[in-house]
Order: sequence, then structure tokens, then C-alpha cells
Amino acid sequence: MTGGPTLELSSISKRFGPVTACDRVDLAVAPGEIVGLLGQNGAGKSTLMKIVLGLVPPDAGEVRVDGVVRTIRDPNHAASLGIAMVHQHFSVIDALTVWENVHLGAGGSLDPARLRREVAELSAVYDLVIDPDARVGDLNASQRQRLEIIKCLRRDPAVIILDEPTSVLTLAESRRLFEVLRRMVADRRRAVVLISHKLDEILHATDRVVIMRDGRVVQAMPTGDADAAGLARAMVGREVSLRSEASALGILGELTAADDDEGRSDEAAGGEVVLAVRGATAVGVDGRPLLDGLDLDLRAGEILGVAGVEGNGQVALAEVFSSLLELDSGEVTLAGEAIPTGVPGAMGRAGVAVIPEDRHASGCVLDLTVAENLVLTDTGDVSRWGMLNRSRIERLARRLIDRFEIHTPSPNIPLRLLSGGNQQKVVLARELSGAPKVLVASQPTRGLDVGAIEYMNGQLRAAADEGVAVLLISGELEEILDLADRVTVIFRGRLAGSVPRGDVDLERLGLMMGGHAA
Amino acid sequence: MSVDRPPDAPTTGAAGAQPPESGLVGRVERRSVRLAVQVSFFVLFLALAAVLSGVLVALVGGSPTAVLDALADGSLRSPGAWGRSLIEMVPLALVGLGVVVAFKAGSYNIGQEGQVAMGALGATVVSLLVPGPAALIMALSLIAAAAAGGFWAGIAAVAEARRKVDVLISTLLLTFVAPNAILFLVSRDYLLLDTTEANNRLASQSERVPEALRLPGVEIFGNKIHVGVLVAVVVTGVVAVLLTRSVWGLRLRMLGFSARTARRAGVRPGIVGGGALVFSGAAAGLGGGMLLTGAAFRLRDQIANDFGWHGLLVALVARLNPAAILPVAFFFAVVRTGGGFLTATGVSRTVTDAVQAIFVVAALLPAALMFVRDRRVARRMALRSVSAVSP
Repeated sequence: MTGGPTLELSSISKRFGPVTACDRVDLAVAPGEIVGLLGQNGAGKSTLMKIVLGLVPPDAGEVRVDGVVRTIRDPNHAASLGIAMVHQHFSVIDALTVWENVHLGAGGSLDPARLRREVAELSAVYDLVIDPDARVGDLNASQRQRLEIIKCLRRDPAVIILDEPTSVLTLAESRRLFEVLRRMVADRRRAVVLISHKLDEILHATDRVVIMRDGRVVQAMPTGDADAAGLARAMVGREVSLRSEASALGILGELTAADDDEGRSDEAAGGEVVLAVRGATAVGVDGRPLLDGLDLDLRAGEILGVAGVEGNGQVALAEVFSSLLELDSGEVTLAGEAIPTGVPGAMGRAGVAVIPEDRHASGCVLDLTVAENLVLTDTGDVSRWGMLNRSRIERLARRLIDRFEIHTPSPNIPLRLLSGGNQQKVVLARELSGAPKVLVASQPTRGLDVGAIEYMNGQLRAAADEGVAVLLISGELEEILDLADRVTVIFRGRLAGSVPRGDVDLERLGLMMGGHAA
Repeated sequence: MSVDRPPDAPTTGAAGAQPPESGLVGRVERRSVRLAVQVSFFVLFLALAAVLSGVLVALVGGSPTAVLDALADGSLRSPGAWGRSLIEMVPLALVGLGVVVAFKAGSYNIGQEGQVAMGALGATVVSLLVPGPAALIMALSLIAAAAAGGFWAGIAAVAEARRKVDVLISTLLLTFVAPNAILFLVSRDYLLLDTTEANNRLASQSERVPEALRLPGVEIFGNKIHVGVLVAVVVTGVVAVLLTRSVWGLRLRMLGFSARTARRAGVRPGIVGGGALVFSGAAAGLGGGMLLTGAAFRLRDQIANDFGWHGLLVALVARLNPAAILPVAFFFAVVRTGGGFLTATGVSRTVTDAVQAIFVVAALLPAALMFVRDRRVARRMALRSVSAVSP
């Protein structure tokens, strides 16, 4: 390695309220190397990079660029210091052409001829095939990412940070990206930080790897010394510590796991398959695959936990059950009967209840009252001749409010006025009140406080005990280990085979989440 | 319409700085307080509009007091005047009601001007060309009017359902097709052109609807009003109840607020949203039909005469509250009839148009300010309730 590190972070700490996002993190990246930053969602990777870009000020610690301590004010300041980032979510304008977007990203005087030439040059040097005059709206995900990389390279940065660059790419496209990355580093002795949770990528594309968990760097080593199993273990936490954490957090989980051996296991084994998905395939509007031949069997009375890193098809899977996404091929059957996908209300009518991830957009209507939200999906019992019976709605609402302990001054105030936890309880109450056969809970506790999380988990367990087949899609591994009877992993729009909770091998789970072995 | 007149701009700032209003915002919102604020806004802006109109008239050499007198005479004071205003209110209320339904469902139909014209066309065709007993034809002509307006909006509904064509754009563009289609029809002697001796094929207009087929009416204290007023009141009441109390209304509002939630709950956007769009077109069409058989009696290309645009404004001023449609529509009707009378007194048409526009803006501003104010209050209440209600 020539010279010292180009970018050096030492002892960076950042707290958001009670949450420690970064806890004395050290990270250095030298010219000519690719450092992989590995960790689960919420490990602190994003916060760390926001600090580097000046989006978030650190509480403590130093950022050195070329050996000089800097206080980075904002992304423009970072750029002037030679630090650039390719974000996971594209920031391009569809209506403009490629070279126009490149100009917007950089500013300066507008010289179309020069911009076109520069884009063409960069695209030739790095084999980033793109037409400078193409309209961005017509590009696919991979081409858009090339545009983002070109925008970034045009500033000739010394340090390039890539945030989950392959989350929108196919396998072949990812491979090509890493070839390009290698060339960028070799060429100009740039330094690259590659943020990822995919083990394969880290193993194949990086020189060194830094693993973060719960805001701390738990391990750092040359990639040559690393193996997939070790990385997975470090990423999800050592088996011992996680077990103890699980028992400390959720005694419930341990107890039900023990119950498993007596009551549930034969039920789960003998419980009939209620919901089956076969070969579910769907492609997004931008042409990237959302679901890729996904198979799923869900039995009555069990909780099947779907673990996995975000962006692997969880959203699409939940949308299928909300009748929001139509499958291109494959089918969904409930108790042997096929349910059409993408037909409004079809899933709900068939008996599939959903607690959606984006409850504000597809779970409830904030501008309607609490009572109206409680009868949203089924007005059959509270209406006659197409007219709503207000007193019956109110009676039903009060019953549900009592039963689900919803804190609201009145059933007749807009849902907007309730806290997030109580809004989620309204969704839960409504979905369970319809006596569903299947309950799909997608990130059900996201954004809730501890009390609400505990309540939600208890309700999911209770629903399963009453014979509802529960599909729990969650990014929180602890939640899944706590609740699920069986665990499976979603990766690139497919589910791996499931294993009973008791047989879960955390190392293997980590490997599967990283797509290493399925 | 000349809505964005510079002389009105400063009034916004002046009202925003009113200490009484901003003091009220801080307290817990009561319905009576809200109403009081709304009414005081309204009175304030109307007074400002009156003053501005007077200044404008004085500038062009007229007498401000005489003009305001004429406005009041034309719309309310003189014999038969409020009857004329009530009749003028009918299309405005029906159009506004349609807007409320469409907007609540998230279908931004702004093509009412064309839908009114098509409704008038439908009524004309049935009245002039279909033989039969008068009562039947009269009813049929109104049904045809609603159907024609609904059809015109239905084009946009189908285009949206099939090809995702933006309703805002399609309804707006269809508006410009309607008068040209009508102009074509009323300029051909083998179609609807008035070929009677009196017209001598000179003006592009249809024959007058025969007396027997015009909307029947009554005379109260010298004010002639027709059955359309009753229809407008009843329809508005029924729709107001349906919107809040029926399954259809709930699903419609659900769709407007959150399309994804609605879809999950089984609301088919093409049926409920498209249906709301067609309903709003039909309401505008019915308004156009009543305009024809109750007031205009003959079809011209400009038959809609801004009723569509003003009806759109009625709904916005009423803040999509169906209960407020009738009073707001009546206010707009008063401004329209008063402005018309003003022209008859010899004041230049451009000036009376400007005066009308000033009053329209004066009616719009309180609604806009209430919107801003409500949001501020809602935010404050939300903050308070979060700390009070969270578990």
C-alpha cells in the first residue's frame, strides 16, 4: 500500500436517542483497495457513511481525509474533498437524457458537446455501456446504475462509496459491476468502500472486509483470510451470544420453542397446508425480477418466518397477498382453491389477512375515522341496502377497541391522530376480526416502540394458536427466531427450504441470507 | 377567467396578519369557533371586493355606488331578481356536486364546462327531435342530458382504466371538443340549425325548445323559479347523505384517500373511481340540460357559458363539503346575475367581467386561508394527541 489511508475514520460514535447507531467505529481505506463493509440492516453502515458524506454530524470521533482532520459539512463539501457516493436508491430524473442528468449532478456551465464527449469517454474507459442521449426513463435498473457511477466518476473522486450496489442488479450484471470496480481501483489508485450484506460479493470483490453489528465493528480482516461461514457468524452474531440475547429478550420464544416438542410439533407436522404458492414469478416495471419462481407452503396453526436481507422480494411477496401485485406466472392456492392474483380484494375475500409493511399506504386510511378503518374491508355486517349502520359500526368498533387495547379517545376521530402503535393495532384488529385462514405480517413491528412490539408479537402467536396460518416476513432475525415455528430465507425472489425453529443453525442462516448456500 | 388579478394580491397578506384570527388558532378547535372564523373571513373579503370593484369603476369614470346598487338590484333586490339567481344556481350546484364526488374518489375531472354543453346538447336533441307526450319528453330530455354528460366524462374514465390516461388532461381536452361539436351540429340545416323565418339561418343556434317542454315552475312573490331548483336541492341532499353514510361513499372516499388500501379492500378503481367520474359528468350534464330547458331554451356552441368552470370553483370554495354546495352555488349565482344586470345598465362588459372576477376571488380566498389554517390546527392537535394517547 502506498502512503497512508486516503480516508480514515477513528472512534466515530453516533447516538439517535436511546439507539446507538455507531459505537467507536474505526475504518480506513487506502488508495488502490476495495474495502467491504458487511452487516445486517441496522448494523450502522448507513449512518457511518452519512457521517462521511456530512449528512449526519458524529457525536464523537475524527474523520481524516489524506491525513487531515476534517469536519465534513455536507455532500458537496465531501465531494470537494474527493469523496463520492453511489447511493442505493437512484437520484436521476426520468424525463432528462443521460448527459443532462450528468450535468445536473455536477453543475457548472452547460456544454452539451463536452458533456456528451465526457460521458462517452468514461463509458468507453470503464466499459460502462450507455448512450449519452438516451432518456433516463427508458433505461433499465442496471443502466441507471451505470449512469450513477458515471455521475460519480466524472468528479474524479479519490474515494468512492457504493451502497448496496447490486440490490437492483441480476447476478450477471453484478459480476460486470465488480469488474468495472476492479478497473476503477487499479487504474487511478482510487479507494472504494463497498457496502453490502451479500457474502459472495464481499468475498469476491473486496481486498479487506470490515464487519459491523449493532453499531460496532466486530471484525476486520483481509478478505483472503475470510470464509463465508466466519463472515456469516460475525454478521448475525455468534451463536452463544444470540441465544442468550434471545432468551433475555423473549422468554416467550424459548417457552414456545419448548412447547413445540409436545403440542405444536405434531400439529405443525400434521397441520394441513392452507396456503400454497407455486412458481410465483413477477417482474417490476423497470424490468428487474421481483419474484423468481417462489414456492411456499404454509400450514394451519404455524408461524413461518421469512428471514432475509431487505430488497430480496419481501415487498413483492407481501403485495401478492394484498392483491396489489399480479403474478406473471405461478399460482396461489388457499385450501386447494386457486386465488387470482392482482384482482382487487380477491385475497381478502378468500381469507388472507395482511398486516402490510407500509401500513399508511395500504393498511389503513389515515383520513377516515378509527371506526371506519375497523370496517374498511368488510362492511357486510354493518350495512343494509348499501347504507352503513352507524350505531352498529360504533358498537363493533368499541368491541375491537376493547379487545385489542387500542388507545383512542373515541372511535370517531381520524386515525391520523393515533400513535403508530395504535394505528398498527387498528390494522391488526380489523384483519383478525374477519376470521382469516391466513395472516401475512410484513415487518409488523417496524417503527413501533417496545411495548407495541411485544403486543404485536403476542397477538401473532395467539393467532397461530387459534389455528391461523401465519406468514411472518421480517428483517429482524430475533423476531423470527422468537416467534416462528419454521424458518426460511428469501433471497433474490426465491425461498430457500425451511427448517424447524429448533434446528436453526445460525451460521447456515447467515449464509443463506447472504445467498451463499441455499 | 381573470382570477389572478394583481389588485387582490395584497389582501392575502393583510388578512394573514389579522391578530384576532391568529390568536384563535392556538386554542382547541371548536366547531363554532371555526365557523366564526370562516364567516369573518368571508365578510372581510366581500367587503374588500366591494371596495375594489368601486375603485375600479371609479377609475373608468363610473359611479361606484351606482354600480354596487346595480349589482344588488340585479341579483337580489329588484322584483324577480332572486328567482333568477336561484335558477342560475341550479347548474352551478349540480356541477359542483359532481366535482365533489369525483374529487373525493381521486378522479380529478375538470371538464365540467364540456360536460355541461354535452348535457345541453342531449336535452336539445330529445326536446326537438323526439315526438311524444310533453311530460315524458321533458323527463327524457333531462335523462338524455345526464347520459350525454356522463358519456363525455366516461370517455375519460375508459381511457384511464384501459390506458392510464390522466383524467385531469383528458377531461380538460374534451372540454374544447364539446363546443366545436355543438357548433358543427347547430350550423347544419339538416341537423340542428334553426331554419325558422325569424332566424333566417343566420345565427348558428338551434330552434327554441317548445313551451310545453320547458321546465315547469311556480311564481313566488313575483319570482319565477322552476322545478330544477327543487331537483338540485334534493340531489344535493341525497348525495351528501350517500357520501358519508353509504357503503358506496365509504369505498369512494377510501379510494380517494388511499388507492392501495382501497385495492386491498376490494375496491375496483375502474368501477368506483370511473363510476364517480361518470357520475360527475352526469351531474354536470343534468345541469346543462336544466340550463337549456329551464333558462336558455336554445342550443348554441357557448351554451355552457362558464357554468362548468364556476361550478368547479363552487366545489373548491365549498371545500368538497356537499352540505356547503348550495349556499356557495347561490353566492356564485348572485355574482353572475348581478354582473349580467350591470352590463345591462351600460357599464362596459370588460369592467363587469372584472368585477365578477374580483368577487369570485374574494370567495375563493377564505377557503384557501381556511385550508392553510386547518392544516396548522390539525398538526398542532396531532402533536398534542400523540403525547396524550400513545401507550
